[in-house]
Amino acid sequence: MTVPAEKLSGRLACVGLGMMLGAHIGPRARSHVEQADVVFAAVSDPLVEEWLRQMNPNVRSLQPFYAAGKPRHDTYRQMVEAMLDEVRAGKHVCGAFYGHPGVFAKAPHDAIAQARAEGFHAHMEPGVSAEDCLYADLGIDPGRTGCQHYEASQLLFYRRRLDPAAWLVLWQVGIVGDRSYRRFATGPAHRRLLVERLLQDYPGDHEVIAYEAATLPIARPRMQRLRLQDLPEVPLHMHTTLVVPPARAMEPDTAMQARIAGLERSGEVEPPLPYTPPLEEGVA
Amino acid sequence: MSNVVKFLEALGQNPEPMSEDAIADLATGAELDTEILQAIAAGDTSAIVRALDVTPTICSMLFPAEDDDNKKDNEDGEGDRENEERESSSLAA
Repeated sequence: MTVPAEKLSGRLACVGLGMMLGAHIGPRARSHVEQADVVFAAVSDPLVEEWLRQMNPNVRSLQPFYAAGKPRHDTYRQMVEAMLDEVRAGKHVCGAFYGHPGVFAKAPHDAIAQARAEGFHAHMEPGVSAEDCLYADLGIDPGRTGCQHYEASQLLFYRRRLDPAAWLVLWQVGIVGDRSYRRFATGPAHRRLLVERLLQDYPGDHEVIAYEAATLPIARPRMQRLRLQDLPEVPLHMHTTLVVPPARAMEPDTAMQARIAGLERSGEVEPPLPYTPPLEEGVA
Repeated sequence: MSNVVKFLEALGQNPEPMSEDAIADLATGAELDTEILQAIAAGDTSAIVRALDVTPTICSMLFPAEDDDNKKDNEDGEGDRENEERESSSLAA
């Protein structure tokens, strides 16, 4: 199907608002929100929707696409279609998503792919994600030991290999194990299965952290420390993330280290530049 | 409503660490309703939402653990295995 030239003026930008109202939005994301003909909003707090309405009067919430008992795959498809309908009508459309629009968010990726497939300009503007807040609030540098991220249910649905020498971050733990995609929460029975899976790699008394980023500047992040074995009984929400610290030290690969040392000795690689530290002032 | 959101936006943009008392003082100067002031002082975001009578967000999940196609493939696979098991047990019988 050929899209008429005037309709191709439609365009889509999916932008991240960051996690906290007022604190994280970038200037480019704000410009997209302010200048769009229509803004579709999927946010974590109703006050954030009101904030968007102060930036652009034509905000449409994506919340009505969710419904109790309705498969979320249908919800996400309808979100994509709602945005694409306006793009096809020649509008400048902004999808405003909390956090980062491309991290644990299906509809923005699908909408951008579909818009581009139909010949429209489509763009993703990154935002401050819950992951970013988590590193800052918990004082974690993922570079130190590495950091694994999984959607929590995938640990149950699939055989995944965990490295207990690295950090482990499990997303959407409050709905772990739901294969119906019709629930907004699962309970202790599903969580016990998750604990059972994690006990293959971690001791039951290993300290884990239930984390929730603050979405309003008057709130504090949740950083509740608990034993892994106690997870089934702790209140968890849709936006709770489980953070599992490393349970053991990284194991040196002595064979590979020896091969690297051999390379250095062999002359096959350029040696590092010589460096002589400057003498400290007053030190002979 | 707009005063509350403007207040929260300004607070979010303020990099200074603020005590709860300092936030409460700032809120008092923003001409907010008593109920909102109390909620802000208590750091109770749910109370702000209730006081403003906005529709509470029902869902913030945006990601399925499996794509629809993967899920169907898995279920088809499970179905095949179940059929094979049924067939082999019927053969054994």
